[in-house]
Formats: sequence, structure tokens, C-alpha cells
Amino acid sequence: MPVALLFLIALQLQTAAAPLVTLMGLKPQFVAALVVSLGFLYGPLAGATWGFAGGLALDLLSGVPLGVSSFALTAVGAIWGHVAAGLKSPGWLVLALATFPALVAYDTLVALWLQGLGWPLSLGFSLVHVALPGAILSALPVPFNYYILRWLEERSRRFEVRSWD
Amino acid sequence: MAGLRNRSYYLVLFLLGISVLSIALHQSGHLRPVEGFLLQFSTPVAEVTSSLAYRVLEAGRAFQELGSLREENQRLRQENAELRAKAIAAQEAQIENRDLREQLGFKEANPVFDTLPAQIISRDPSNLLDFLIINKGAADGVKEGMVAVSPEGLLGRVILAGSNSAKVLLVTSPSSSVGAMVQSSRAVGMVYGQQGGRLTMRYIPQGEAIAVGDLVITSGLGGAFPKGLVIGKVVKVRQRDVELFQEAEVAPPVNVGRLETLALIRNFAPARLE
Repeated sequence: MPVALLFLIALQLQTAAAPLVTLMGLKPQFVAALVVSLGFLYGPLAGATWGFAGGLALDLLSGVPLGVSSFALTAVGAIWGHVAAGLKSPGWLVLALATFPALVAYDTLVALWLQGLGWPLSLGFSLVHVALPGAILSALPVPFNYYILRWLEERSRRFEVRSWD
Repeated sequence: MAGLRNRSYYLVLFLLGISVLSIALHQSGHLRPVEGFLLQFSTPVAEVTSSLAYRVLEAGRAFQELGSLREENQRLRQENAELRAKAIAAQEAQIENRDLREQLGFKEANPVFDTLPAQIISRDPSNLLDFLIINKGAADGVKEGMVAVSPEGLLGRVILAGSNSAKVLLVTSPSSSVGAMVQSSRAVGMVYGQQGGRLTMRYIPQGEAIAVGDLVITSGLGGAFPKGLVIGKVVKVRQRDVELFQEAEVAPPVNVGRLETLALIRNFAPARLE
């Protein structure tokens, strides 16, 4: 439930606030960054499920054909969750460093889909001018995601222990 | 453990499959009613959060601008005086123009547009495309193809109308193209949206005079947009003798990121070329 609330906040930030706080015309990708964090901390299943939900919501609120962002975020959430499963308690720095290629992969996948569907997008421009700088910008809130998610995890564990008592 | 892992993989594949199916249905147009309905569902929340975001941003901006307000005021007073003088001259020219048109029996070239104001409640969250969602839909008379403008000029056109909200494709979107002409030389071409909110005017015949600072307006060719709406100003010209056409980079007149409202032109019906 708290993760769902965090997810809704990220979604609202993405649609209402992100377009107002652009840097060099680029918007931070709050939802994508949160999905990567969820996959990284809770595994590929959580990454894929939240990636699918987040991507679908982004598709509905953007002009991207329904299914494009959900495909890209499901894949990225699942793959990064799988990669992180091999790491022992990754810290926020590892998460931030892993988020960067994840977000580049996400934007590239979306651009590839759009190009495949006949949208006049330049893949080179998308990678150099959108995906790479956008990923740096979007990786910035990752430490916050990390600590909030860790705090939520601790809180729910404590709650479970108390319920057993 | 292996069973759980297998189930996870199946679920991931299932979700990816649904996404691909959605893309296919979207492409075939079967998802249009569903998308309209879901857009409707998200409108109230988007409206509240967007207004909240604006207020926070405006408060921050007002705080930042406090220091420069006096200088700004002084400059604006001077500008106001100059503009008043220009407005009087323009009014005179307008009267003269009207008289001449009457003498020639011409109809008014730019009829006054009947507009429907709308509030922007959401913007494209992606960095690849440019869309807006507005708080007016089919119930308010919004139809697909309607042209969206701001006081500064052309913004885009409606591509999906839900009952109480609609999606506007901006001219800066890579999938957008507008018939255009350079106001001073009347050279025609096509303005295409580019990633990163840029505009490029292509297919300008060689030999046509075009310079940095020229105003680019809609040509009305193609019938999707009315003639004479400002698209932007030329900021760079690319002319090579070996090519058939010239190209120009055009700067849009308005920063869409800062816009809160827009207007839809009600009394212009886009031509359907079938």
C-alpha cells in the first residue's frame, strides 16, 4: 500500500510537475526511476509489475501509443531486478549507477518502438540528446527513492513482527 | 524456488505480451474508445495536481523576481508608451486597410476566430513527444482536428477528444507537420516538429529570400490549419546550392512549458482530403 502511494505521487509528479521543471528541455523521469528502484530492491517480479502499471499510466497520459512505455518499463524493471538479485544489499550509490543505464535503455526502447511504428524519430538524436542527458537528470532522485523504500520496508517489517506478538 | 522463478518469468512474458497486444490494437484503432474513456478517468486528478504544481512554481518564481521588479516596471512603462504610439498608428492603418478593401470588394482576410478557452491540465510526461491534455472535451464542443492557439500563435491540433478532456498534439511534436510560409517573402514550405521542442521549415524553394528574424506563419495549404497563424521566427537558414530546397530552423513564439491556458478555434473546420 505505501509503495502504491509512492507510485501515485511519482506519477503525479511526472505529469504535473516534471514538465514545469525541465532542464535543457528535458523532463526528469520520476516513474521510470522509481520502477528501476523497485525492481532493484524487490526483484524482477516487482520491477515488471510496477513497470507495467507505470508504463500503462504514462502511455495513457502521453501521446505514445498504448503499450509502448509499458513494454519498455516492464522489460527494464524485470531485467534490472534480475541483475540486482545477484548483488548483496546494494547501497544507494550502486542503485544510482545502475539506474543510469536502465533509463537509457528505457528511452531507447521507447524510441525504437516509435520508430518501428512509423514515427519520424531519429534514433541517434534520441540517444544522444534525450536518453543520455535525461538519464543523468532522472538518476538524481534515486537516493531519495532508495531511503524512502528502505524506510517503508523497515516499517512494514516492524508492523509484521508486532502483528505476530 | 524454481517454480516461483518460472512463474515470475511467465508473468513478465505475459505483461510484455499484453503491451505488444495493446500496441497492435492501438495501431488498428480498436483502442480509441477505451483510450478516450481512460483519459476521462484521469482528468479530475490531473486538474487538481496541475493547478497545485502551478501555484508552487509561481510562488517560487515570484520570490525570485522580487529584486528585479522595480527595473522591470520602469522598462515596461517606457515600452507601454512606445506601444501606445504604435497602436494608434496601427489603428489608422487598419481603418485605411478596411476602406481600401471595401473599395476593392474584398472579404475580410482574417475573420475573427470564435475561440473556446481551455485549461492545460497535463503535459506529455515523456521526453520524446509533445502533447497536452486540456480540460475541455466533446461535451464542450471539442472535435478532433480543432486548432489550438495561444495569444502568441499556433500551438497544435486536437487528436483525441474524450467527453470532458482532449489531447492536443503540439506543432513541436516530431509527428506534426504544418503548411507554412515566410510572412515577408511569401516563400512556402512545411514546418516539421523536432525532438526537443524545435521546429524545422523544409521544402523552401532555392532562390526564395529567407533571413534570420523572418516571421513564419501558417500558409493554409493542406486545409488542416487556417492561414496567417504565427508559427515562429527563423533563427537559422541552411542553404546549399547543390540541394533542391532550403531549410530553416524556426523558434516557436511561446514556451509551452509555461503555458496554463490555450484556446481552440471553433469556427474553422479542417479540410478532409479523401
